[in-house]
Amino acid sequence: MTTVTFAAEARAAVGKVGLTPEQIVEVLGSCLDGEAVYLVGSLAAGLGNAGSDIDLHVFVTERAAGVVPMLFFADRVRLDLVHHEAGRPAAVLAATPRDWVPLLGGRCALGRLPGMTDLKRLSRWATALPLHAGVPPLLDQAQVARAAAAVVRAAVEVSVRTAAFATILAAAGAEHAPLAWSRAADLAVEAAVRAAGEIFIGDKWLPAKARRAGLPPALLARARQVSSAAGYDRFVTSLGLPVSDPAALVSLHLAPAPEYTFAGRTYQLHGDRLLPALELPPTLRPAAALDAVGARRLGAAITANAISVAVEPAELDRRLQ
Amino acid sequence: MTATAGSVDARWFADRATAASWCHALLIQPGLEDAEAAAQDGDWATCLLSCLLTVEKLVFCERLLVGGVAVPREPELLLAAALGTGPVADGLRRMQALRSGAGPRVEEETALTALACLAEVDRYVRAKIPIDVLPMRTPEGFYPSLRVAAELERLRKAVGLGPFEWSWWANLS
Repeated sequence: MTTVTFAAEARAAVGKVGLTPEQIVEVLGSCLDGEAVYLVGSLAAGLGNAGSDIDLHVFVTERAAGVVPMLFFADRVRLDLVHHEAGRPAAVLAATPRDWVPLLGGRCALGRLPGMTDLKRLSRWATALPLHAGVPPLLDQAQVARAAAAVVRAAVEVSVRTAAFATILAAAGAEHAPLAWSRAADLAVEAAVRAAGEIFIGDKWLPAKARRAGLPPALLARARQVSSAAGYDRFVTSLGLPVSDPAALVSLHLAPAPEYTFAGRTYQLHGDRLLPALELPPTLRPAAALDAVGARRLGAAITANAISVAVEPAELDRRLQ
Repeated sequence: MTATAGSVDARWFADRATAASWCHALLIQPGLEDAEAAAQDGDWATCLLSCLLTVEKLVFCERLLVGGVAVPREPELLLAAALGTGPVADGLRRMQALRSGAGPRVEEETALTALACLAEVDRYVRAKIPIDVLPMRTPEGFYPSLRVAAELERLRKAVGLGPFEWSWWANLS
């Protein structure tokens, strides 16, 4: 009979929710047999609390039939188990940019990023802990550095995108515009936190990651108080993040849609919604769209996915360089 | 999830109410748990942020019942909230007031007020879903939820809808 030993770091991490690796293996049994098992998620990243889930990724050599999470329980603790193909982390990493620039004390990738689902997984894999002793980390140091540069850029892009939405909300005179500006500022802090090495992606952990990164608590308080375009520009400039005037960094893209005309009125079908046809060029800047259709109509089109909002990689690269 | 009594439009139930109930089970319930766990831990800053993020997801859950929001991304949800009125949009305003008023150290009182606001908005949205959403991510709620999900699939087929894309939801968080 082979004696299995568990990694001390993984044991300490799952101890936060009152479990041991032995208890986990007892519940999951053959689901873990003979495969590379890693603890991922907030507990592996050194975050988490007594109410956290235990997230496990198992890497299999055969072809996995899609990423389907499975839920188990050990007493009242949730065990989330996902199987991935063994080559998946390398494939996702290969889709991230190689080039980077120094930013906020860390590295920020230059160029187009993979999708957010893949980036979230990458951040989990970069902070994963092997469950068993003697198993190497999932990503080596150079791979973690490349993943880190990508997730720093992702935070910058999400901050810019949120600020672009805040611009539209402000143009509509919406009461929620200050909230959008403050969240955009939060996300600028998220970029700083990731640049400082806290690369796990998990929105709610921002205050904990900021503490661990040694950022002053007053920084997050200042971010929460940002409530306007001018406030956002001042905040990101003071951080050293070159993304002031964020609306200039994004473009709007019209989704193609079938049109239907009833008694002279034309509608476009987006999902299960009919929207009055938008007479706009396929790609344009937020300012042009606001001028053409107004903030409320633009907002309705964006929420219905008739228009998508995307950060322009080349524009952002120019600012970062 | 268990069905409540009363007459409802079967197609709306199979389509929109099903989406809203899955949304509650897979996005809202984890958010409620996160906020509660952070409070238990005395981590008031994380609790406050978790409350805000969960109220934002409740915007999505509510909008699913009427349509009009395609993805649960934060900026889109803030935009959707701005186009609407009512207790959910109001909840977001209260959250922002709590956030902007909090100092460098978020106080217990601020976080507990946010938790109360979240609970209130959640009660409002849940009351609009014609299925009592069970705590799916618990040992006692998991299998009963799956049984209701199977019944919803049967209903979807009967009214001419395809299978619900639950795996899309399961990979969201």
